[in-house]
Amino acid sequence: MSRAGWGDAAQLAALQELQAEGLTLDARGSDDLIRAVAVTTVFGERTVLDGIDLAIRRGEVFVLMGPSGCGKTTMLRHLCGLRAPTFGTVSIGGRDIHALPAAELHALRLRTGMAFQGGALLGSLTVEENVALPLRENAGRQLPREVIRQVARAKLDMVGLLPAAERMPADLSGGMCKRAAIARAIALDPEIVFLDEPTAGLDPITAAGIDNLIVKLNAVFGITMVVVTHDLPSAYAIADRMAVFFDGQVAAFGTKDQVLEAGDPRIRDFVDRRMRDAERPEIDVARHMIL
Amino acid sequence: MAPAPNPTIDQPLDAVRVAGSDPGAGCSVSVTTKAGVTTVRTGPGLTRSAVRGLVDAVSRSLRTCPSRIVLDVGAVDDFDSAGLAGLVEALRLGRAAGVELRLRGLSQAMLDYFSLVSVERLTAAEPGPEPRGILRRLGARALPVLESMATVGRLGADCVMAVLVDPWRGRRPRIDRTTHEFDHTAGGALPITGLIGFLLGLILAMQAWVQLRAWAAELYVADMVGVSVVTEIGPLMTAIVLAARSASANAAQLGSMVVGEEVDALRQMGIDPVRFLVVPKVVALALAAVALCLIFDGVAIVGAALFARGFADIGFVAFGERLELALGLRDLATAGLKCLAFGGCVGVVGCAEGLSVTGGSEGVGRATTRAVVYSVFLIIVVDALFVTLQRMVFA
Repeated sequence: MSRAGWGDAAQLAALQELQAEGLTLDARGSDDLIRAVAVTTVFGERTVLDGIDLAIRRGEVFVLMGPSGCGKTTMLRHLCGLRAPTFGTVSIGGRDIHALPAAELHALRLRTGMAFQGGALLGSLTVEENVALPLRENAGRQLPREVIRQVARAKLDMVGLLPAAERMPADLSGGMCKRAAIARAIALDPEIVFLDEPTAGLDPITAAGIDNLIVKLNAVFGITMVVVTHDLPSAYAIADRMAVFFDGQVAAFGTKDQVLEAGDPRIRDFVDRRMRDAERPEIDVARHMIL
Repeated sequence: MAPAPNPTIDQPLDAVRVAGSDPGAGCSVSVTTKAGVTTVRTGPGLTRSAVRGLVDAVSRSLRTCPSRIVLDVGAVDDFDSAGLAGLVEALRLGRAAGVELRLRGLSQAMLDYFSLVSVERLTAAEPGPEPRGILRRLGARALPVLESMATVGRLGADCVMAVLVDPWRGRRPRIDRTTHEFDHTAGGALPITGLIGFLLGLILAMQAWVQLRAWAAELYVADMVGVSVVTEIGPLMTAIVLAARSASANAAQLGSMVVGEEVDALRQMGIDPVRFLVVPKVVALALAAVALCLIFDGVAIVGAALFARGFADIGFVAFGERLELALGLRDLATAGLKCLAFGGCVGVVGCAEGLSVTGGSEGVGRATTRAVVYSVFLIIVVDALFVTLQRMVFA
């Protein structure tokens, strides 16, 4: 896939520099495309992530799983370069993305896509214009308008939203917003797609459709997928490997079976949808008073 | 070539970049015609940089009216979705022109890509925009304005009901929320109102003095400034300041609450959003307008008196005596009523626009703009009504 000629001389120069150093997204001599080392994040007094180490391989669907508030979305924001961790590094293709110069970070962003939890579609543009936006802004001088339009429509067709192409984001249902966000995330033919809760709050059928889409995009285009979810069936359906987060730490890491075999009681509870004793509401007092 | 099944995305990127950054590699499109059949052959790179050439070649070929066009992509070893979109666009052009267009030499990777989309749907002719008559277009323009006016009217009536009738039905007015809003609107607007008042008093006195000097009637500066400020400029300026500060803030706040379904939540909990949210704001604004206007008047007259003393040799005592003669209690009372009405209008318009937001964050922006524009407009209309009524009653 050609990624040259993004229109900006500075970008092109940055690319050629990257090329000259022989550094590409597929880190040489290693399967790992994305690697996080000792990522620690502190919000005020609270430690959200506590020394996370992760390695995500090229071409796999990697799921970050865990209960709400365990830090998985924060981790995703570190991995995609939106937010730098307090300590630790995140590298993609062997380069620390939070230390990249602006032009190279921009070049990297053009090769990754992100679908935000609520869709984050621009309310002033139609669905089709939303999907066309990254292409129009980054390759608009190179591509005829009709072709940009066809790309956007093709991506919308992939997520089954072509009939809604002319609608405004405010008129879409939650599931449609998420699908439109995925279409926008793959608009630039990225190599890595980050998805934040792509199936949360959706009915099982729509959720299964999105799982199917993720697997298909991964299989056909070999896109590396990094998915944050707390939806167990979805995680099982799509994940090649997963990391389960608990209280800012990785409780288990590996394939589905490896994670289950790890035997962490918290994971058992999570999988069995069981509330832990400590978190159960206190009812003993009431019982005591009745008797 | 990188390993299957995805030769395009999964290959080392520097290699790809070399292919893509060399414009000669991708753009080579050759066109040959034989026995009425035009063959368009693409080069090895069917990527962003090559698409324009391909689409141009096809549309040029279509102009020669061939019986058939064959698009040969057998040579392609590097493509991206822009390249394939170019193919789809070519198919669409052919279909629109009624010329048979065939693809030849699609690789497995391309077929995989096309398995995710429906070329039939993508190349379908789209219905053009519905032709609309002048009446329809006029209606489409006028209807939102009328609807907006109706909403403002309804909400205004609701507020009046809530203020005048509810207390007799045993419903307590929300004093706490009203004082909170009052503090917000009046307190926040105090510095700017005071500053504008002082400067305007100075300016008006200066303008009046320049005119009156010609007739040696400088003493009447006090009359002119006093009457114009108290009856017109004071209420108008305070209302406009409130429209700019508070109508916009209310519209944005309520609009975001609508977008976030907070207003629906209130309704669902059995809390009337008008009485809970709107009435305190409207009452607070009406009272704030009166209070701010009093302060505005006072500061403006102080400004004028200072100018008169400093430049026109009119002492404070003489200035005060003239003022006393020129202004009656009636003027102050009408000014107060006016302020109540203006403040109420600003409150109702801002809240009505906020509550009728549709379409997410952009809708909030539009509502905020409309809130300011409509409230300033309404202030002027109400002012005109007041002046007409005044003439009818007192003349």
